Amino acid sequence: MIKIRGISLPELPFSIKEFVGVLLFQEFPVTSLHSDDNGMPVIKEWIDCDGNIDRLFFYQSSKENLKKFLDGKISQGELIRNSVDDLIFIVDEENRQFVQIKLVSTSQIPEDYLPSEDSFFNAQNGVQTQKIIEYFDIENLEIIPLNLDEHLKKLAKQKSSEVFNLHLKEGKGIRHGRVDTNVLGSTLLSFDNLYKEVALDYFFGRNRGELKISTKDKREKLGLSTTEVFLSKAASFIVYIKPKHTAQFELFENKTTSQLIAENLLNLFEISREKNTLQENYLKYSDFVFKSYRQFLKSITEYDIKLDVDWTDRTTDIFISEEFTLFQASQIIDSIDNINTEEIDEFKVKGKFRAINCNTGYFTFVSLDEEQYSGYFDKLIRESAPLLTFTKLYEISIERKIIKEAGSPDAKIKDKIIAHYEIKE
Amino acid sequence: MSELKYQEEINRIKCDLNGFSEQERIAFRWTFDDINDKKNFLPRFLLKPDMERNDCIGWGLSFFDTQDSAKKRLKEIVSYRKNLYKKLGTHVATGNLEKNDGISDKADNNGHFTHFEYQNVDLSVKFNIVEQIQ
Repeated sequence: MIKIRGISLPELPFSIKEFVGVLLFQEFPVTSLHSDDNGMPVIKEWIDCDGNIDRLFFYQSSKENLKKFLDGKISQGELIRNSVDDLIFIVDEENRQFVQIKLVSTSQIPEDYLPSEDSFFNAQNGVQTQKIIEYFDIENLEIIPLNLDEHLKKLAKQKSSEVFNLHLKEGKGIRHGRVDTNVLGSTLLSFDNLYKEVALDYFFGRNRGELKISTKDKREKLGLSTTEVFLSKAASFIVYIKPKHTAQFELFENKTTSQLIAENLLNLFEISREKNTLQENYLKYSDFVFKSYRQFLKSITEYDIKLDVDWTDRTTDIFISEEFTLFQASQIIDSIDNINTEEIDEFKVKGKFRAINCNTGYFTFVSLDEEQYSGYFDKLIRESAPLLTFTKLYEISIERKIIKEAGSPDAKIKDKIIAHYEIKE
Repeated sequence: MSELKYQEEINRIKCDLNGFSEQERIAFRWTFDDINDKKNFLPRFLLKPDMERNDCIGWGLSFFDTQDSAKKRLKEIVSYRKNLYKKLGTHVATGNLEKNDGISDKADNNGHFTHFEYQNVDLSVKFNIVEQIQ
């Protein structure tokens, strides 16, 4: 048998009041139900044996989870993993005596001891199902669905922080309580990166790419621009995230910096839902943000994930929920890709021509302060190109087009000479 | 009707044996690779000595009406718990149950039926292994 790593106990920390019945199977009682002193279910599962020693799980459960299992809403694996306090007692039993009791977290249960993923209750396999239902009065039990809003608020209060809830609902590599490392890794990294870029926009402005920011300042703000995972939950797969540094100073409007960053991030989700609103609000965010948003959306389309991003905070009544599907993510990517902004600037420069191609109209001009400009002559003045010389001093008027493609931090620059005249002494 | 094996234990539990009768039928049972293994024809109450006993069916033996249903069911149950082979068996054996072997009920949808042996019956001599499952 597998060696169990856990905390050794002299006895079970709860008493078993009564045996209720065998749930599974007729041929061999793998799962049986007992009740504790409070009338709550204690489940016993046979998991392994070696000679005369039988290895068993004992765990306290709730009537609600038992009902969900009997109604086929959760698998046996979920029933085990959702035990009271997420704890399992692994007991080795020989001749009716407990020879070893180990306390183990549900996340530490050896894989070999968990039922297969599709181990849902099939009424045909039930043995004393009716007796169990009657004992725990399961038919009259009303299950109140989990209120995500309240649940998140409770967590936010516990953590004294805002909380993001990333719920990976469906997709490649997503199963109940399990998710492939690459899918989770890609989603978390791209989300954290997006959060970071939105935060840096908040701290340094959307044109921060053109600014010289000191390393010290950058390092300090980067520390406030990251998130951390503090909890995960089986329900397809839920990850709870919060800003890494929650003790941030209060700013105007009684909001912390991390609240304002979250607002900007959620606003980005909101404006990107419609192509028009994205276009109208595009300039509110830097291209770094759009690049990382695009990567985040790409990880959704790549793994065909259905993802919910929920947010709340301890200090507000606001609860925001955004859903991303393959279809929506690819629509937003298309919208981002289709947005290009164009700015036109006009300025004058003094200097000398370094190269002129009279056939194509292409030029290179070097200003007096050694800056080089390249581009084409405007059609209207191209004919004048052969008359220019490299030794004379000129003042040229340049029309500069700055084309920014969404998601690409580097702008394309196109210069055109629209006028020139020779500077005479 | 002769006395059942484990009659004393059965008498201690409220037991409804309506629907059980002496029958002649071909039966299939999960066994270990050695047909003489002592565990092969033990009722489930003895397979796991600490078993809670509030019904008498646990003093009966599980059989199937076809080889396929025996094989299918073993695979199905083991999919819930990988180690159940260690307890239930790794092979399927077949033999003829006769009227003087005991009483059994009708097979359910899985082809499963329960058989209570009479005293002094030894089914291991009547059964032969026909297929290895694990």
